Amino acid sequence: MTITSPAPTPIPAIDTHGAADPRRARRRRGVSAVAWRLLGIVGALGLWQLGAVLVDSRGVLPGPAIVFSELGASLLDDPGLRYLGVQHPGYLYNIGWTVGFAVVAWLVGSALGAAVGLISARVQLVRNVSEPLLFVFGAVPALVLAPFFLVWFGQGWAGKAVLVAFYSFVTVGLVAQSAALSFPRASEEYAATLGLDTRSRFRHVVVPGTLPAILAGLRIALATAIAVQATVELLGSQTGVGRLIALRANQGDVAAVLGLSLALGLSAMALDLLLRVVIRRIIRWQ
Amino acid sequence: MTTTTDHPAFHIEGLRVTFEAQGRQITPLDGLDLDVPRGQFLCILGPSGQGKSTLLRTMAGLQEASAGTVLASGRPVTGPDANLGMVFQQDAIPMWLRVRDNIAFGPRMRKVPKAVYGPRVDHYLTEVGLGGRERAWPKELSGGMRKRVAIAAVFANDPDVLLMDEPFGSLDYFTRASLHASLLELWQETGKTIVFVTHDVDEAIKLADRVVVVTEGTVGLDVTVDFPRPRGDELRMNPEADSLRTTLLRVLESRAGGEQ
Repeated sequence: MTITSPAPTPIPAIDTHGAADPRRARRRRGVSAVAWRLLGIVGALGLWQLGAVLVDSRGVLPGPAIVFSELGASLLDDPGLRYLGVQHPGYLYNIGWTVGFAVVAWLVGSALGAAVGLISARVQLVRNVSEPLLFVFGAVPALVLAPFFLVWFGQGWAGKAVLVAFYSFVTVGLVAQSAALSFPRASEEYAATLGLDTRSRFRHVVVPGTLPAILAGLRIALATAIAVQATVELLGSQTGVGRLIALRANQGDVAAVLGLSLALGLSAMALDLLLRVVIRRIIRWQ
Repeated sequence: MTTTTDHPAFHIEGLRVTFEAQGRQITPLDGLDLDVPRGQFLCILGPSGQGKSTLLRTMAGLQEASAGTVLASGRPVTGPDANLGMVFQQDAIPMWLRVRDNIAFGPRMRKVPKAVYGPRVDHYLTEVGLGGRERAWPKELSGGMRKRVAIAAVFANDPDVLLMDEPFGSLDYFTRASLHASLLELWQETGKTIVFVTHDVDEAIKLADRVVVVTEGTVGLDVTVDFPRPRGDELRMNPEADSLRTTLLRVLESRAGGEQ
């Protein structure tokens, strides 16, 4: 038998566009992503402006220029709202109030949710007790639960904080539980054969191993927390974006409602970006 | 007075393992007897589903025996133990620890003084060819390199026995050959007992002092492999090795046929 090897085929040169330098390639990808995002924003603003021109009614759909000028004018103070009895009528103050409270409640609720979710995956009794709570109440919309919380805990900050913390608890709790339940058995067994006891395995293997999923859950919970906080403020509050939106909606001021909603959305987006940076740092091993 | 070193690495008698899987009771091991002397490199062969991995898991204390005796160094195996190190088929090392921290994971968690485990970690890091990659994350390594981390981590934890469950099953030929060489070097250096589960007859002949074929829940064949070491590719031309290969394949084939 004779074995012959074919003549080597010349490999054509490939233009890698800087792929040889990973840092440069990464920067190029980053710039491209930002460019596409900007393009998306400009496109949305353009469509919005076009819609406003077609509708031609400030009371129905004000254009972006009107909304942003309204937002800018009331950022620090708003005499109209002051006249309506709002103690701190500046938009910035109220956005800070809503986002600040949401973040504190989110932190508390998420920490509890992560702990209960992880423990429930390992202790059947905790799972039996917590699962109905997570599923049943987690499926009830905030608008339905909010009146109960306002009645039980009052219209002050406590009722809202408990509600926001509760939704964060449910979101992160479910994610943590499912991450711990699906955690690879071999990883824990490997740690056991290295001599780690149950507690050490939980602390040094299960917790760090499920961290990426829990951190992803935190991002979802943060957006939910801000939305729920604004929703309960709509129903009853002295301060916050929700309260201002309720007042402006009563006046039929669509530009103000749109501006406040946009400002809240942008604040949530900024927080999410910050959170993503922190998460990327924590799970840089991924 | 008898010490643990007077006992074989494993003494297994009348082992029966029964568990429930997918709603039905199965008995992968039934009446299995096996003695593993200290320092031996034992390979366990067997068709899929005939109990070889269950045997290894029972030896590691990860699977409870339903009946019979399993003694490791004279002591009953009641659960996982740092003296019964295990390398898994799939990636099981903590992905959030850098290479060096991964190798030091076991002793550090068991609060072994750093002065004791530090030099050991450095030694095995170099032995498995990961020198210069101490700060790398596991995701930055190839599958073969991650396996090297797992092997170094188990050796650095200094167990009496190494149990290996088809550790190289998913690797290519050259990576496997290189890992075989590293493993044999470490085995010869430390003199530890190794129990290695594989479905690859050639791998078993290349590595083992002794090959045990597990079929129908018990030891179907037990052969000593005494070819001189190191065993390279020339083993393929050895008529005795060829005859052993044929014998092992026949036993495996007949049982695999029965399985269908």
